[in-house]
Amino acid sequence: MNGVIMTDTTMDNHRTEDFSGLPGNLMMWILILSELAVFGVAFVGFEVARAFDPATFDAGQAHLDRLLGGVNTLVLVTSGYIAALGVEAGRKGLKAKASRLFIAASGVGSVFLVIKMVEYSATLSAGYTIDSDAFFGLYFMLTGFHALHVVFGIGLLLVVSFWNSVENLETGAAFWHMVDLIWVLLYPIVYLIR
Amino acid sequence: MAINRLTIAWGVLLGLSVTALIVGNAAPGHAHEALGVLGAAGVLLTAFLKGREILLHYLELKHAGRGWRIILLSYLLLVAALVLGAYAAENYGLMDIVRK
Repeated sequence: MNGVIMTDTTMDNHRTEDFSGLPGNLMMWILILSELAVFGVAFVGFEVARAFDPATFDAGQAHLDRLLGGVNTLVLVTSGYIAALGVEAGRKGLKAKASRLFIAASGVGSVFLVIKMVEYSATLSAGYTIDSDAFFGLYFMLTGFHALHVVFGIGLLLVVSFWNSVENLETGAAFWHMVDLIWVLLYPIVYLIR
Repeated sequence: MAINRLTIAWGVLLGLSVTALIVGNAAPGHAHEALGVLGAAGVLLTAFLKGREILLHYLELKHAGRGWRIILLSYLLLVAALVLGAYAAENYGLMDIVRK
């Protein structure tokens, strides 16, 4: 098959030679690269804004629950691991197992949202909103935008657990790993570095 | 039986996450110029290593073209370096000059 691009879906357990062996659908990778660019700029922007107004950012950050954010990191990476196992099962032709693992990954992923809601309700009931100051404006914007991606990712994991071709599983998992990757940067920058 | 590489990546990610929390809590922040920057650098290093693990093993860049690995790992390094640069500028008081 050298030099021939395979489009037959029955052969999708083999990597096609286009776009150099990235898993899943090319469109997903275009989305992933765009998302990473947007979040990357936002993270650097956050730290620059902080450098201009450290007192406000320090005071705001002191109200965040670092441990809860840390637990959420463990939750997301665990969910990502389960989705990766799901892709592996799908490639071996174990479709039912792959679907079960994707449903499990979405279940663990929804724990992230529950913890996020606990965190938001504590922050809001302490009187901090998106309008409070520069820190809380950026905090709610970045974590809220990321949480929306988690919601979308959970939906996508469930969709591909149903339509579970290997390409669909790879594509759904790739989006989910990107959500994980963004959190792995967001958490230390917004919660940990002080 | 060899341990699945995906499982190793999971273990590495869990370990680095706990390390980040410990380093982040131990770092003196703005109370100390050099140690504050060192703490931030430590936390960002764990973030880079976590991102690398996700990119190589979960997003499977290990099996993709070398160009993709270079682009995405450089992205991680660039974000971490710029964040650290802004943090260090603030911690060493360079921003006071800009603000005036």
